[in-house]
Amino acid sequence: MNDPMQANEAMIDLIIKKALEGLSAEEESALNGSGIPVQAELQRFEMAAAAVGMTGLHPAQPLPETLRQRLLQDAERHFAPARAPVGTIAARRAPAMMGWWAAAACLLVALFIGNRAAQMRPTAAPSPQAMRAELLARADSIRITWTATADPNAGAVSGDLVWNPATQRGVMRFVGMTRNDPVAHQYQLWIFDAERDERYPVDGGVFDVPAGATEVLVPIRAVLPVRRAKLFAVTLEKPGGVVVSRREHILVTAQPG
Amino acid sequence: MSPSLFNRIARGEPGAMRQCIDEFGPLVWGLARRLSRTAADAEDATQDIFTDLWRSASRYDASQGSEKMFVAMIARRRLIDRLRKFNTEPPTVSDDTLMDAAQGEPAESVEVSAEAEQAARAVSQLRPEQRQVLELSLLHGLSQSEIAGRLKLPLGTVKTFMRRGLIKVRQAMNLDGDGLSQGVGA
Repeated sequence: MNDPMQANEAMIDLIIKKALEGLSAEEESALNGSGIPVQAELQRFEMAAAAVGMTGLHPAQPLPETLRQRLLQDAERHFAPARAPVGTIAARRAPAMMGWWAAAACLLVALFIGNRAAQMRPTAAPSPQAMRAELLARADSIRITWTATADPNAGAVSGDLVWNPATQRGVMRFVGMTRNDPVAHQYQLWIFDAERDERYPVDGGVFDVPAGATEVLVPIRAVLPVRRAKLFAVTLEKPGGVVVSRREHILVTAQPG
Repeated sequence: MSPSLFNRIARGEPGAMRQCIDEFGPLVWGLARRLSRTAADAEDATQDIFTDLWRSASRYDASQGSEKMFVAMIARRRLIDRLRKFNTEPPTVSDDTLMDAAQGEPAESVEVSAEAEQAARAVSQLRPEQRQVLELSLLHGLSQSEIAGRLKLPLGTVKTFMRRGLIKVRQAMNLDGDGLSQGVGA
């Protein structure tokens, strides 16, 4: 590689790869052996990548309250290790000793409801009822009724959803939806965007329907921006949801007019 | 001049960590949700990211960028580490999807920071193939090899699109100095 420009590009490519995904030992060695001070370049690429990575995020997507409590416990442990009563292993979706009042309260609520969706719901955020009312009051929101499919798991479900394209927020309402066993299956919303490949709809979030619930309201949590929603569909998936649905159990759909 | 939030965190100042969690938690959570397969993975990743933030707080330099940018950089590093470490398949998208995105009008959205606004504008002005490659990498966590496989392009072509696209974003964001990449971004 005698062309200095070409050599330059090769080094830049290595720095970019280091910034975006990391290098193999050989690549790292090649970069270090080049004698080029890469740190400033690396940081600029990392900053550009981080800035692009922030685009299209939902600015109002709140942190789940149970997770917030765990972060506070972690912080307390990190900055006051001498005061930690036992252990140093961070809590992972389970309360630890420190900050236990708040965590235990959250866990009790979650256990009582037996519903992962409830665990994810932040107490500081507006309730689904309030969000639905707010969105319904907006002229730029759309409201669509669900249509049950012939899938035997669909049952006699009805209801609607409200979606606001400008704020990328929405709430689903289900009446008569069958309770799911979160250990075996969870419901997952998919949003088909007219400006994306329909084989890969946007994940709208995983949720549960608890026993005895006649009407369930579930906030929509789209993980990517939805430019022009053309269909909403709920499938039954393995716990935690999937990245790409096999669409074996499509239960309800809602199509904007 | 009052100390930055991260200076206060580095000093272990009471209240600073809570402020950091409340201020940047939604950003970290949004990034983690985007680059994690499940909500449970995203929760674990968020905890890892904040642990990194506590460890790295003393390295924050306001002259290098905003606190939000600092958080986003650390979050990205950790999320990519996790994707590679656990050999996790990144959230899937198709080449058609990204081609559509590359050719369509940029979505109207409220960005979480001024830097993100600048970046979104810069990305919207890239050539479609550059935009496509950058989005697959930066929004969906695909490696260069995965992108090459997905788009059926030679790896070298992917690297070129990525280099040119990212350099243009840097320039648009005024991040360029007199560095190595001067003159190779055309």
